[in-house]
Amino acid sequence: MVYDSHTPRRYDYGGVTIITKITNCKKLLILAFFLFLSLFYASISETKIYLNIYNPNLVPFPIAVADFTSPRRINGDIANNIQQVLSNDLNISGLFRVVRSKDFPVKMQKGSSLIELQELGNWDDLGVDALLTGSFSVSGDLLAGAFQLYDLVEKKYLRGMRYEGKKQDWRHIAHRIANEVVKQITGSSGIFDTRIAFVSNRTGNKEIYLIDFDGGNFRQITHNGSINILPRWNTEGNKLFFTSFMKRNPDLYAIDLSTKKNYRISSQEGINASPAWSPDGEKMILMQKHNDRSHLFLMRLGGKKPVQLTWGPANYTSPSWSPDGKQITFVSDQSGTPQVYTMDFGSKEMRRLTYEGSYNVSPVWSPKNDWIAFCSRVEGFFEIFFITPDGSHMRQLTFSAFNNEEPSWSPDGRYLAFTSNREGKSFIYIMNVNGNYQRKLTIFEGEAMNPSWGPYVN
Amino acid sequence: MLKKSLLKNFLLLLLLFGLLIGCAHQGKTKSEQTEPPQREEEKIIEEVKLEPQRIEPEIPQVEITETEIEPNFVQANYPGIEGKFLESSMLKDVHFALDQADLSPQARQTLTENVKLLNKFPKAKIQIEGHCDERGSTDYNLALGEKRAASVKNYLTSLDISLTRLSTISYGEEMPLNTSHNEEAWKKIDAVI
Repeated sequence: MVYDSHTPRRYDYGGVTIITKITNCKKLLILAFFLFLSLFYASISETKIYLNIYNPNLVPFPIAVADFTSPRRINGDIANNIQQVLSNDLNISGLFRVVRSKDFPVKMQKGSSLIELQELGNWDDLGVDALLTGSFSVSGDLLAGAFQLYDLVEKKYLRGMRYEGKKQDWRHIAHRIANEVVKQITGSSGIFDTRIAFVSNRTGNKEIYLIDFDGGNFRQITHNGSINILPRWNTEGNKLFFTSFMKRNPDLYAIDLSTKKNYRISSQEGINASPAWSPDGEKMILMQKHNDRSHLFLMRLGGKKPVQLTWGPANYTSPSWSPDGKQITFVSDQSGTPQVYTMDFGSKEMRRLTYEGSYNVSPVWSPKNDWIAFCSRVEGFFEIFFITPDGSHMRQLTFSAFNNEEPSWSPDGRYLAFTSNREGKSFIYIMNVNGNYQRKLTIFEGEAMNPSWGPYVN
Repeated sequence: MLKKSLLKNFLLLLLLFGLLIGCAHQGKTKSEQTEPPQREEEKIIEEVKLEPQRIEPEIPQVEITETEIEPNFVQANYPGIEGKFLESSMLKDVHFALDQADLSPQARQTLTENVKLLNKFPKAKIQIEGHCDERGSTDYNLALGEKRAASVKNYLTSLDISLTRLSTISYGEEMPLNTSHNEEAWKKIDAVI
């Protein structure tokens, strides 16, 4: 690295901003300093992992969640709501067993925001390994408070965070606390503030909706009265793409979630659907019509001419990127039935993955690169399957005499959202990657389908 | 002034369409009442090309004219979808086997019958709709509907319907023939195939 010797430079290093003025003679010293700094950070970032979330035989981690307190009784509701929402997050994650205050040792039941370490007491009878406490208060439209997490086995303070925000954002704060707890206990980022886009016909026509991971914060995104289907996220998670029949053609639109502005992205005659954004956020693969068939087209940001990736008399649909951005998985009926394929951008090689069954669709590549989830028709019903990206192993996740379709990965690759009609009407469900903890996302009039799980929220 | 005369000419053209046009298509609700529900469908719809910005105020007149001339034809539209078209029970739907886009002998016969009607109205524009039932992947069904519509389009051109009169649209699984989800409805659908 050669820097202009007299220009001050800012280095953002592990959250610490250092401004240095580099001179030639000091270069070596600075290099040594950075070496030391990186070693220092490596050692402190090596925190204990309490729970390996990728263990297939995972036993939920027992955590005690105290009643969140409030300095003024009038604010008790919001502190309580935050505690309820984050406890629910931890419970439905399948990672935790939440023990509530009514089961605490009597001395601890009152709840306290700051517990002296020597007061942590004896929790052995309860069989919990960690304790979460918190306190929140409201002043006007502002909400402020903090949580503390303790290791009850080693009797030590693990982590605490203070939050200040708008009162209306209490639910976000609750999800963030749950994220921090997951991060501390598992070493992996939590997904409690991620959102799932989907389609519902509850207004009488299909519109696009958003909902939080826990089924809260349900909101309608499109209001155009037409048929709107197949929502897909951009990589940053600030735009939703979808196909709408407004102009009597399945055109691709995008809505900016912060400005609520709508854009018509692609309106070629025929299909414009199912855009898959690359992990680097710069490219999009889209279904478009060519010679009366659906083909895959690669487009780059900046509006250059699309590149056609597939050719011939078959249909090519449903693209999904590998996490390294080097391959895609998609559906083709070139064999006579719809099957799952991969394409490598380096070798240009196309490879068929599925050979069992006559209907294999909706492939989605796991963010962890271990599986491609897809939907297969088995004896007249649709079920969700996994296959390794090299096609070597396959496994069935759902078993029912109903349809389980349209899998969509959570950004951490530990959950799948999917559509099921197990209760008669189509609805969105969530399950863990091992097929456990299947739960309905929410309940409302009408049906829901086309789930698309959004990226991490920054 | 120029704009007005253009408008008039355009309206005349539309009236001409109204006179010459016949055709249309079997209404969805009718077909559900009179026929056993079938698995897949293909619709042929006759569409009047409208330019909404220019002729919007005149549309009610066009409607009236059409009804007077040919009572069999009903102007219709899909809620939330731009454009209007004429429907008639005289144009029959074409049905496909599960997952398939090939025309059965029966489908070809239906299309041949439809062509007789279409030939009476040589200036009518025809939009072919491709549909699928709700089973299966939403985006794959969009592609399958396109393939089905193309099968019909190709067969119609082989029967000397000019390609310039034909357009296609795939609605995928968004307008299934049988919208009932209960077990009984499924069984009925299965029994047809």
